[in-house]
Amino acid sequence: MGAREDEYDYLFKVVLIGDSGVGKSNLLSRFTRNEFNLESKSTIGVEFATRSIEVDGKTIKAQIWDTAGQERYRAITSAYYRGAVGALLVYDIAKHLTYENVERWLRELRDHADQNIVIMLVGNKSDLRHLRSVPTDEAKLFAERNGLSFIETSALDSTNVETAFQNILTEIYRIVSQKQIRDPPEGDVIRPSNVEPIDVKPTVTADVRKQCCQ
Amino acid sequence: MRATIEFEECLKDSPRFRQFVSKEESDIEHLEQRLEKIIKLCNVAVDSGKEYVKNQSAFAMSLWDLQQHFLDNKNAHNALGKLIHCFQEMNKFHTTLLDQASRTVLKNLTVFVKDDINQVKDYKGHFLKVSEGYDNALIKNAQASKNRPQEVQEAANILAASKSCFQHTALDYVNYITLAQSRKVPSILSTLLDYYQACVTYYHQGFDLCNDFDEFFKNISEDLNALRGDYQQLEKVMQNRHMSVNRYCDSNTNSSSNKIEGYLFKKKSKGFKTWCRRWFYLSDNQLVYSDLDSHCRKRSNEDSFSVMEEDLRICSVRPVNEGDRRFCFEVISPTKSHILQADSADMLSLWISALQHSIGAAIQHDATHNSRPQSTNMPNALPAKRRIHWEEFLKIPGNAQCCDCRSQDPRWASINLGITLCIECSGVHRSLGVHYSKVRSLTLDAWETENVKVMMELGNEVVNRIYEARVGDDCELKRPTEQCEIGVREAWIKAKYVERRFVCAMPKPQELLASETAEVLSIDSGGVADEGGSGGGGSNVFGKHATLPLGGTRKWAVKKLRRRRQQRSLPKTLSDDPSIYNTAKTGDELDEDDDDESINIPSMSLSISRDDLLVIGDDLGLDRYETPCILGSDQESTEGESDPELPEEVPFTQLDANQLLYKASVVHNLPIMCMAFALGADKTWKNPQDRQRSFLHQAVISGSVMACEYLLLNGAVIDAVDELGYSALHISTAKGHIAQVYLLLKNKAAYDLASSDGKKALDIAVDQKNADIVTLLRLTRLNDEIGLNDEYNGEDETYKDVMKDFSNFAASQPRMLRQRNDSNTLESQRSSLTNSD
Repeated sequence: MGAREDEYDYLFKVVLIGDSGVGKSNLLSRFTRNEFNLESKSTIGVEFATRSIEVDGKTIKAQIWDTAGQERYRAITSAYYRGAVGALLVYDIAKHLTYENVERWLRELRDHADQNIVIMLVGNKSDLRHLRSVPTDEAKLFAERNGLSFIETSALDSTNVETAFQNILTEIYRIVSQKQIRDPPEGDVIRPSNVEPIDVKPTVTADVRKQCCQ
Repeated sequence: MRATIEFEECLKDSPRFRQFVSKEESDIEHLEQRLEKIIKLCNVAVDSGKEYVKNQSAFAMSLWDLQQHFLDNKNAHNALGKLIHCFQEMNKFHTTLLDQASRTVLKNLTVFVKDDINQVKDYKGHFLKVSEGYDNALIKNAQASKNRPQEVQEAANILAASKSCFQHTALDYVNYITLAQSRKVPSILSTLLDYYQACVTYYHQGFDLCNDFDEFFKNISEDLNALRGDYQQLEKVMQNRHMSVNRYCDSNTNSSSNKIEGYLFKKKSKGFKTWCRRWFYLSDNQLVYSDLDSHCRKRSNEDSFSVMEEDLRICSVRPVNEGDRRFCFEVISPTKSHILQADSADMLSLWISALQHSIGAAIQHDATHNSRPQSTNMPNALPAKRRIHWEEFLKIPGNAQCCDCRSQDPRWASINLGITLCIECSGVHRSLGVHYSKVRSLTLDAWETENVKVMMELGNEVVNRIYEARVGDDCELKRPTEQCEIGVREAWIKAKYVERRFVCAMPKPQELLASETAEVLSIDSGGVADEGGSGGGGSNVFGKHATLPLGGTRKWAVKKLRRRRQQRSLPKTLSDDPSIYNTAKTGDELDEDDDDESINIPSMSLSISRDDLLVIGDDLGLDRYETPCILGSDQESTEGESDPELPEEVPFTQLDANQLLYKASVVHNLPIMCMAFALGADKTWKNPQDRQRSFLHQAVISGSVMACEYLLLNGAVIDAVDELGYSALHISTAKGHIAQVYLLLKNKAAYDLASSDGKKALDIAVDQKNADIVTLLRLTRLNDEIGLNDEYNGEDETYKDVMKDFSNFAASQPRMLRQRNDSNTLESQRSSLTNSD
């Protein structure tokens, strides 16, 4: 292999799922192109974008699959979950229904994706403080109970978008690199016990948050 | 009997009498206390007994539950049933006993206490009162003054009365006491005796019950002994369990049988690329593995078994030495490669040899037993996937014989010609090059649905009507036979398909116009011995030259092919009619009410309808042939086939092979398309009168997947664009034909082609909000990008999976794809109207 610009050590496929209008496509565009579009259209079928990041001196190329949230714009196939090593399950902190549907999306992942898939629960639109309807603690608790990482982001003001992707890619990298070294006999162990869960602390200052939660 | 007091003592009211009375009173008191205690305790006993019985019956019920556990073991089930029955019977007896106890002991004793003892007690009060009255009378009498004789008299009277009363009462009292005392023994004893009897009955019943079951339980205990023996034997065998470790290793490495199964490490080709351990085995030429891992965890909600390779006959196996792991081998099929790892070097060689052996055996089996379907009675490992059996191909008219040499039971096919071939002829076809003939094995190759559809539309009989129409005119060539020399075969096949020497020439429009009756065709079936082909008989009776009275006919059209036509009466067989003018009673909308004016020439499939319209393709479709079940109605992927739409009419001046193919494509009439190719249609031709569109554009518009596939198989230019710069992919996208888009992409259509107004297929799909087509297009592009960047990885696994999904949908539920598409566009229209988001 020649020395290429886009040479990478790992290629990770990550899917973005969640209800329609929670901001999946904008999270993707913020992360890959640093763009945000207030009037973005519904995603049809599936879209992709890639970006490479560095973890432990290794180049990790993330191939991010942005899927349609609306049922009628989803393709008939569910094969695009296959091979995905990570999933960002996005909901809108200002729309409680999108949070309620998280369970449904989890089921979808369990049905179609690799059982090792690393899932991160993402409460997007954290900039809408005054409209918040999903308390951070509640979502955090839910994530803990279901073995998911958790973060709140805002694609609009960029809060935590970078961190979210960094964290999930790092977590995947930890698992994959560990597996490659140790090759445990049971290849399908869900999570090696010695992987420390990544505690994601929201970077938004707490006092600002408190004002709106009440 | 107790000594009672004499009545005299009572009458005298002697101290003895009083002593007696008080003694008896305390005696009865004592008795009463005892009896009350007995009653109380008996009550407790009965209550606790009832509790016991209740628990006992609950216990029995739990045994019934246990019995359900042994449903699969009839003996145990039976024995348990009887035992439980026995327990329950015993319990019933016990209930009876308790009932008896309460009825005898409690009731009798209570009655005794109430009646006899209480009577005594009651009477005691009366006696005391009377006795007091008597005492008072005595005192009064004694106090009576001598001076008052009246008083004395009165007192004496009272005394006398009191005395008499007292005496009577005393006697009565004594009577009660005596009676009570005398009755206590028989009462108590009889009560207890009754209870005893009840107990006796209880035990008797139990005894009888046990007697009844005696035989049975004796048998059970015998069985038990046998079982115990078995168990001990088993235990002994199990003691040697560790021996089997060594023995197993020996047998494993020594065994030469080709049956092998066991755990292998499988490298995932996607995702985490982890190794997982799966149970592999060979079944019905398939390499199958269990989806359960060694902890029986289900990996997915699908079938618990996955087929790794569907047909081992097209696979090869080789050891893999590169890579970090030891004992690896690779199973390679034309499309995939799987890395597997055995546990040891021995196991590795065992697996490799077993796989190779079974590959060989499968091919051999196929060669020797090929007339027998192999998998008919075997459970299909993939029930969801429709397997198309090659035998179905042979049911197509003419296909039971090789298309060229007529030898029986052909095993090969040319997928672009739509014919079956024997192995020798297939070899010659191969040598022609793939632009003439694409050869596939009926038995060894995996068949794509669209290829099957093309095969179903054509077949040897249809194709030979076209390619061997003029056999006999050209006599210098020898027709090949089953055992002929290779040279004969080669010459014939070359003449037939490359030079197309036996194809009827296209009727020249000029000639058609020039003469009233044009000599259109020369029909001679020559020495074609196609009795097997049921339709061949018709053409045999044709005269050498057929003429068409073309009167005012100035237009022609190609008939739409209807695969699912109703079985209709055949055109009157020509042998019945001395003239070649055959009345086509087709019952079709084209010539419903015509009779005399219609002409039908089956070999060229021309018919002239009452409107002086030359209809091409009326008869090539072989309507008597029932579509085999493998292409049932739900397999139909052709849209609008049932539209009663009149074919487009074209003036005779434009009748040539290209126009014919062009028109045939839009009505997806494969036999006529085949004929047009035979007549020399130009694969790269575009219609100057119709926006420079190609055949493929037409086929796309027809909505038919098989017409597209047929054109592509025969070398149509996939990316040809019309004058607006639209390619077939553009049009199929715009029309929302998912299955066609899939087909075009599979055939590597250029998806990035922009039309004159700068639109790419993806833009159209996004505009149309067709999620499936968008997904297909985007994925294909992504796959190409990955393919460019990732040299060793080749095709993306996800892409393959998605494409496979679409292929499955297109094959099994094309209607669903279509309806989905319809509803999608409908939805998108609706959403564009409301646009709530």
